Amino acid sequence: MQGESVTQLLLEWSDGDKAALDELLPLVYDELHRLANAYLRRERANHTLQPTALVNEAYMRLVEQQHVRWQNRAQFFGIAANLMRQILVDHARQRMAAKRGGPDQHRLSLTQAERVINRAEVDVLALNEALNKLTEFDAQQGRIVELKFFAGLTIEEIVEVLGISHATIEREWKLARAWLRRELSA
Amino acid sequence: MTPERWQQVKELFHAALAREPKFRSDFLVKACGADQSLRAEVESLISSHEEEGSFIDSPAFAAAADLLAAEAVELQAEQQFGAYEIVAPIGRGGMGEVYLAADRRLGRKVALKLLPASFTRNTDRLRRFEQEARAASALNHPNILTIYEIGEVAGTHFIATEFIEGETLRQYLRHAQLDADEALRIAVQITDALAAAHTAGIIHRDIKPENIMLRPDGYVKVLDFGLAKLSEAQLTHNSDSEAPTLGLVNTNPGMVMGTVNYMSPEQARGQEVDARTDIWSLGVVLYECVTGREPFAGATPSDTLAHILQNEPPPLALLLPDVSPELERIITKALRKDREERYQVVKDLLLDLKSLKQELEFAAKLERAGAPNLRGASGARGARASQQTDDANAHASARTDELAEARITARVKPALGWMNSGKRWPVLALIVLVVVGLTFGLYKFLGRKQVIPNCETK
Repeated sequence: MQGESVTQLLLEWSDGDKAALDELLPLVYDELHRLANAYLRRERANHTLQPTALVNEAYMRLVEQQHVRWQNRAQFFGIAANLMRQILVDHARQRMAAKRGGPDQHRLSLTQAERVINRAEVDVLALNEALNKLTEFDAQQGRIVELKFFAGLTIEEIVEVLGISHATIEREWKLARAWLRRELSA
Repeated sequence: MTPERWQQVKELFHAALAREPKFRSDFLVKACGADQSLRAEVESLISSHEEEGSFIDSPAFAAAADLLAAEAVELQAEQQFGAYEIVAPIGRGGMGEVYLAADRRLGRKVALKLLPASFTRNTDRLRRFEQEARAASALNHPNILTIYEIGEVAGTHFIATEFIEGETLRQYLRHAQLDADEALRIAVQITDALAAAHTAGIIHRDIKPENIMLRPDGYVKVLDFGLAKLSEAQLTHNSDSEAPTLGLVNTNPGMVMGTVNYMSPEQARGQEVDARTDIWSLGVVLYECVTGREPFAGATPSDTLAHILQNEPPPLALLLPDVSPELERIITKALRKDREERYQVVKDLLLDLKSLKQELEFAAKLERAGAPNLRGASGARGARASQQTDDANAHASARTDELAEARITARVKPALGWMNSGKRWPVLALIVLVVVGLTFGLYKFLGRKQVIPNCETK
């Protein structure tokens, strides 16, 4: 039932029905949320979470593959990647707000304490802004970064999802990464 | 940047990268011609590309998954959670949500703490945490929070503990400035709890005002024994899987474990910790209680860590001109950066704190009794006070002399006083009478003995 509706919504959306996306997003979000929890519970020592497994499983569960075109798969992964990006950014914002006031200031993990010394953090908010800028003049690079960094897809998986050659994706990723890094260090 | 311009940049970037580094500059000069800004753009992107480090190479997705899980559990009032019924949320700590709940089986209130999934993923570490937390609770120490149950409901791990009415030391410090007596009263109880735990081989690792509860009746309770171990485990867990993803781990509230302000230098360095780490953290808490400020506070956590590792806190005497020098000595000794120079066992710290506490109480009593009566009535009280002292030897020697003198005065003076009174003549007369009587008797006795032989010889 749910599989049907997500499949249907994906098809409607790819046929140009913009409203279908609004219905689709919460369904995908809930499924990702649920899967993440289940994964964390099941995960045991020496069995680390495979980031792509999550998106893939959400796809397998929500979408009836025999009824969709390959483009729908790309769309689905695009949506999942975008949702994960949104979740991270929202959280980073909350954290910033907490830092500015509130009793939670100066809270951080031991891991982070070590990193404060090593200085190897990625500023999610700055990355998000830079990625928005990049997407303005190169939407494809933006998508690649979202899929690779936020959804955790490998280059091979991105080849499948976007239908572009391996070499092109690697080249695009290389430049996008260099540009983002320069933006963030400025 | 226009898409057309970007296309130019893209082509030159890849073309330059395809060449050997030494030929790139010449290539770009030729290819860009008069367009200096194009050349600068491509060159800076190439140098960014060649920078060391793992910028965004590892996906953020794993961290995002943790985030989702951490946000997942939120209970509402009247909701059932296993055998418990949620009454109200109490607070959200770095270690998870805490609720006031009712245990219907035993008809009592409990504090229910839900552990973030990111802490409980590793079952081995979870088991070790449980062992340690239970062991601390089993000490049955009046200053250690009692754990009722550690369990799991639908995949969410929880700890049910006794519910303490009152507030945390953090909350208390926000609205109250403690004097030395009160700070010592609290510190002695925390130290007592730690002494018992350390003896049982349990280190707290996260002593801070948030983990100390003050009950209205004056009892102090130390919370969360063993819990720090669980989040430290997180550190190891992450660092042996995918190091680069660590960059995003900090966005996860579940992994937030607290402030760095109470971290010992060895913790800040990520070294193995031992009981002396608790001594340091206790020193920080004591300093803060007495002065109202954190000894190593910096503008950012990294500044704080730098202070902890390198700088001495402002001297106590500078902030509190009439602070007891003994208190300053104790705090300084607890806050030695080299743990070899710190108090080595918490029991020594406990003795010093207790002695100082008693000394201050004694001084306060003396002050109340009034100094002029020192040799009189208050002397006896002083003597009794000193007998109650469980570690009398720790008193400063001057104080001991004073007490000894007071004790002599108290015991001998009444006898002398009586002798010096007007009743002394009848006593002397009685003594003279006894002596005379005895002499007379002896004389009669010896005399008779001598007479008899004389009679026989007659």
